[in-house]
Amino acid sequence: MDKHNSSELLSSDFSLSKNASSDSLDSDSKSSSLNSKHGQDSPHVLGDIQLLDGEKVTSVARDVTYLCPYSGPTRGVLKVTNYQLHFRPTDPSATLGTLSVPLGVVSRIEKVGGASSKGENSYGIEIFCKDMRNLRFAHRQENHSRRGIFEKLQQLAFPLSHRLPMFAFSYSESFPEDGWHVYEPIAELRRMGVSNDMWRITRINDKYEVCDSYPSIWAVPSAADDDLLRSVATFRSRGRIPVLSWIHPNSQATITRCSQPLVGVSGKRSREDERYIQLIMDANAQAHKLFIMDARPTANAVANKAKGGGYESEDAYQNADLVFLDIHNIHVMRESLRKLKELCFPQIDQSKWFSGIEASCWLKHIKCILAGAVRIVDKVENHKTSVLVHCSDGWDRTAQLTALSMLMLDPYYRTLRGFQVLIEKEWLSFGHKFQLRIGHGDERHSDADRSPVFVQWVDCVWQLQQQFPTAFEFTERLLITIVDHLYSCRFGTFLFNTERERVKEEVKTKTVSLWSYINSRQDLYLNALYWGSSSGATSPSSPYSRPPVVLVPVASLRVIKLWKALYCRWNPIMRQQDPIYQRSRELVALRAQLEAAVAAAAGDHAAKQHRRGLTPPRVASPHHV
Amino acid sequence: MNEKKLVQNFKSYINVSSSKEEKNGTIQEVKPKLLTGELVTGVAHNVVMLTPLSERDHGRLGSVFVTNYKLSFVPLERSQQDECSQRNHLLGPHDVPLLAVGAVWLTDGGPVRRRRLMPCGDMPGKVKGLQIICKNMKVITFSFTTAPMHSGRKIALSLMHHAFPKRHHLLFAFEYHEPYYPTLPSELNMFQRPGDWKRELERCECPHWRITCINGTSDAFMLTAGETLIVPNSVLDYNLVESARHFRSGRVPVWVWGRPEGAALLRSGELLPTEQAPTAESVLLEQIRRSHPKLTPPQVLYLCGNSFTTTGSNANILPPLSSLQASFKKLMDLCTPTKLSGFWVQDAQYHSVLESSKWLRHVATCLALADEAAHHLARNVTVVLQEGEGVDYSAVVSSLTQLLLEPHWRTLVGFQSLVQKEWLALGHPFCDRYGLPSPGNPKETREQSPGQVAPVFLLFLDCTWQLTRQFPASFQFTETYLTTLWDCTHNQIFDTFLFNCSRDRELAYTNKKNQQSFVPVWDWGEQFSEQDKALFYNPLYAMSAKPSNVTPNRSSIISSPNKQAVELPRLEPCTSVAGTELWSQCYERWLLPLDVPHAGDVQYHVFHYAVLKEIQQLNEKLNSLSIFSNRQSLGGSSASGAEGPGDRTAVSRFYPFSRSRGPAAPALDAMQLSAIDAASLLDSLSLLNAPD
Repeated sequence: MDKHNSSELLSSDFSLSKNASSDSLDSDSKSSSLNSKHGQDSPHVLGDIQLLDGEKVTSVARDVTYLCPYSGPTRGVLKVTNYQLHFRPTDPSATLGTLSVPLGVVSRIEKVGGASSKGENSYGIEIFCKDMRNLRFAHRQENHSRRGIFEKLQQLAFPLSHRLPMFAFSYSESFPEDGWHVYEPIAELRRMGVSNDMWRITRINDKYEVCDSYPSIWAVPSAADDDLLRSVATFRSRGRIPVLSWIHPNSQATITRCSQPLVGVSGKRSREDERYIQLIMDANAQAHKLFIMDARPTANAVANKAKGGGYESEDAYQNADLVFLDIHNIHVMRESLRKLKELCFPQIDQSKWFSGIEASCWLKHIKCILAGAVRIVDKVENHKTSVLVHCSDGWDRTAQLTALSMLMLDPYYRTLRGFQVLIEKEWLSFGHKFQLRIGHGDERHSDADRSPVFVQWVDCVWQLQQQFPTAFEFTERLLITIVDHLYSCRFGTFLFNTERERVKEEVKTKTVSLWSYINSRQDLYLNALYWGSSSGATSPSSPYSRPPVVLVPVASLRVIKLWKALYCRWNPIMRQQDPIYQRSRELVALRAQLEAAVAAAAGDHAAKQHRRGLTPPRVASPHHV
Repeated sequence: MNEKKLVQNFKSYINVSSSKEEKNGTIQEVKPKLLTGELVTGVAHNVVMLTPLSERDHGRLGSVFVTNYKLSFVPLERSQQDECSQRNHLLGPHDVPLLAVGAVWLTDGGPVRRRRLMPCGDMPGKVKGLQIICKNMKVITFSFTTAPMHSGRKIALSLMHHAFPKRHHLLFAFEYHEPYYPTLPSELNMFQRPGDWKRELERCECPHWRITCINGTSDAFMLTAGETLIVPNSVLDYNLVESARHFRSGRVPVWVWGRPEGAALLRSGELLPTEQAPTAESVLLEQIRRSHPKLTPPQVLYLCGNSFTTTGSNANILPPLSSLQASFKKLMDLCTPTKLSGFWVQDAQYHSVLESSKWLRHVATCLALADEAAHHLARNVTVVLQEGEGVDYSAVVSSLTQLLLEPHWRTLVGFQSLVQKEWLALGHPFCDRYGLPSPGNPKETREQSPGQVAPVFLLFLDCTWQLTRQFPASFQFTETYLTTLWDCTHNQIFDTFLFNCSRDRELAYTNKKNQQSFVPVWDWGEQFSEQDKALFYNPLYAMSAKPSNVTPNRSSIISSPNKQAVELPRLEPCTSVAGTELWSQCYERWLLPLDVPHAGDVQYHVFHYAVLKEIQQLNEKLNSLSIFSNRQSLGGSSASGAEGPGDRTAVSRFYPFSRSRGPAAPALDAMQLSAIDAASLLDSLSLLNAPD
């Protein structure tokens, strides 16, 4: 029997392999999954445009040439909808050349060449994307053939700059599960055992008046009353006071997060802030110390004093140890990823590949963040000491560090759902400025507030995943899907900067959550190697069981790898032809079928013994149970 | 655990302090395990073997022995850490065969190197410590500060004397006389006799080629190859002898592989700068063309460039051997930090050093050349590989090409046959490349012929590893097999890699003192248990045992879909440097900070072994049930009663080369699978597919 048979057999039950192979993430990235409904991307509609609910074609340009950097020019039809840019080759055999790019990915659109430009394909438009690629289209050099599509693209790709609604507000697909219910702050705190003796839940920020970039619900030391919280807020940048991120179920050591104290050049102090920090330390009976992890390089922290910020002096905070983690700011990271893009797209210069990686410093930054998180994990897990994490504003590097160390400490966050909770909590509710950092629908492509902070964190998660292949319930496919929809603006999840804005814009009622989409087809993202997954998954697993291991990654460049499946995915030669996790799935599927067959055969056997030869045999397939 | 250590992820061994008190205490003596024919030539007791990558005072106390076969450390107290998952019957966990000793450095007793010791160089009166850099990148550091006077010097002298033999017959293979009962599989083709070549020619169904044994006669012209050569039918032996004068080492193009449709793969040496050389070449190429049923002219690939013809198209050129060796040295430096601080210093510039070593570039070039050759052959065009003396890169590229083209070579036995054919029968000069004296050609020092030493075979293994990584289900063997094979090339018990050519080997066979035969490395049972051998087999291979299973390759995405009908399915590897990776298991396995439990790609293997075992069990169950019933479903009871993977034991990144550190050494149940047989799996598929 050949392989064809076996894969068919496997997909009859699982339909994994089929979906996977027509999906952008695994094989062909040009026919992106971004515009597809799960499981509906069957080949017969591949060539033509498939519209989402609420999507409308607004502009069509025929006789356009897509200048693919890898397979050369292809002629076809370019369509623009309110969600995507869609290109279909005229030659029906070239369906693989179909291109579907959500407009949210577009960072900048430029005209190339003029009406009098010489040379083939010299007149057209170039689109610069946030996902590490550029697209070039060539138009016929007559009648301003590109004007219509260019103007439509400008409008629809940057709705915010044109006072138009984001696509997420038009998109209306319904899913069996509402992803907006994935994260319930009270339930998550309860999972961690809060409230308890030492920590209480407060709704002081219910109207987002104490801190407009924080969530409405906080967990704070029980001993701190609301007045204290209010006065601490005046001493912390933007009112982002230390609140609980995570608490160790046994030792009660905590991870708390905040922004920098407003020390300034004169070295101001706040009795209330000092007392409050002391209360955080006191809430953990196991240690007489508190570690304050300042994510910044020392020099940056010092420089911030000039702007009224700064760091905790060890004189004022007697029992606190201050550690600088030396992670650079958003501008450095943006520049680093830009260099990486130059290295990966479109062509790779083989002679400078490794030195290019080094020169981009991207992996060095990843190493720094991982090492920082490992230090936090070490303090919390091994020394039972509480850790307070901050940077300047506490919404970029702080979120990276807290979310990463929580992922290392608590296996719950390594499940498919737990990971969603982690993002909702540490990133979204604590006000990582997604709108500013990504620039959804905003044409100001060189805005200094843009930075790949979240993508960098996802990269760190991937590093953990590839270092510990059995530790995560989900595969890298989930991470890539999240990154894709971080830009796509199809879902409301990553829109706006803060919880307050999302409430005001009624995101939960007017848009669809990314988690609705993902959770409707969980099987696509599950990791066959996950230690918790076994054939008999029926046993009720405690949601807060301690991990067999706290993940402690090796923060060495020998082990930290470039995430080629994300950064180099547009280059066909860089795609893994035979991904190993796919093979794991096939094995697991085969096992499941055999189990079913054995069960069926055993039942059959027993029944036969029971009533030998009395009834005619029932015909049924043994493995569709 | 103290803070610094956790941050750097370093787990320490037990801390045996090399305190001074031991010096006056009684010297406890332990004994090494010796093989028959093995003699101890140097001993030092109360020696501390420092923990790799520690700063100073971590280590273990024991005795060091130098024998005529190995350098051995026997710890005073046995511990869990003495066990590595892979156990070798011939070597203990702290033993190194003498041929694996690369460089020996004097130290002050700590990890800091003072001076390199050269064979036949002078020896200082006092040796406080020695650091040995093994060829497989293991670093061993001994401190003699607690040992009796002069014992350090004795060890150093003995080691320098025996690890760098001057005459070939001093190699331990000539002393070893353990009885050996060959148990090699019959499918393993050793390519030693004319019949072996005939078998291969028939297997490939190539009627236009013939066997000649002229090279076994007094007319021999290709002294470094065996007696059997395969040449075009139309070439007369006389012509061969004539043409050979124009090729380096008489290396006229010879057939190594072919396909029934007519295309063949040939290897040859470079042309000599004689006047008639180009004519001789074109005559032979014409004969080769005539051996193709379609008379398609052959493609010549000049692996190291070509001074005669200008080939603008071929940008991929392999470097001179000396550059390859230099490249390997840099790689070695990168993978053998001696101190933890050095490890972290290297980390900061890891990628630029990796690039400057150019090792991965050479790997990528080999893959690209093999891909090019395979591309032609798949389109039924004959390929002639031409290079230097036709024994180095042509062996690499030729072997890789065959791996890409024919699934047969991707089996374990097939791979071993491939090595026998391309590397041994066709005479890759292992002695010269490994810096050993060759028979009848004593060497004053190894450094005497610096241009000759180069890790060509390792380059091939590395390329093969890259392929196994890119096509995880296409090879029957695992990276553990490849790593083990590399280790074995430095183990002089086996004769496989001990000779320059088959002529030398034949001579040694007849001259060996006792009547014992040599042991080929392929008899893995000589070294490893069934459990360890099971790790050589790729569990995923069983799933895709059929050759047709090549995933849709990317050329179908890029290029036009119309292809010739004769196109052979093949693996199309990514040949960009960006697609290569450092072979971590092989080069970095001794770096303890990286060897973390639950980490690394080995977890996939462990998982696959476990699932496959369950599948086998289910299969047996199903078979036994099927005997009684004719399989009609009644649905019903759930299968959850079947054993799950259960408690998967945590293995570390470099399993099975990791030292165990937990209280219980992982005795993986799943590893007790014997060689997994593809048939049983296919069996299960057919059972499931059988019509009801």
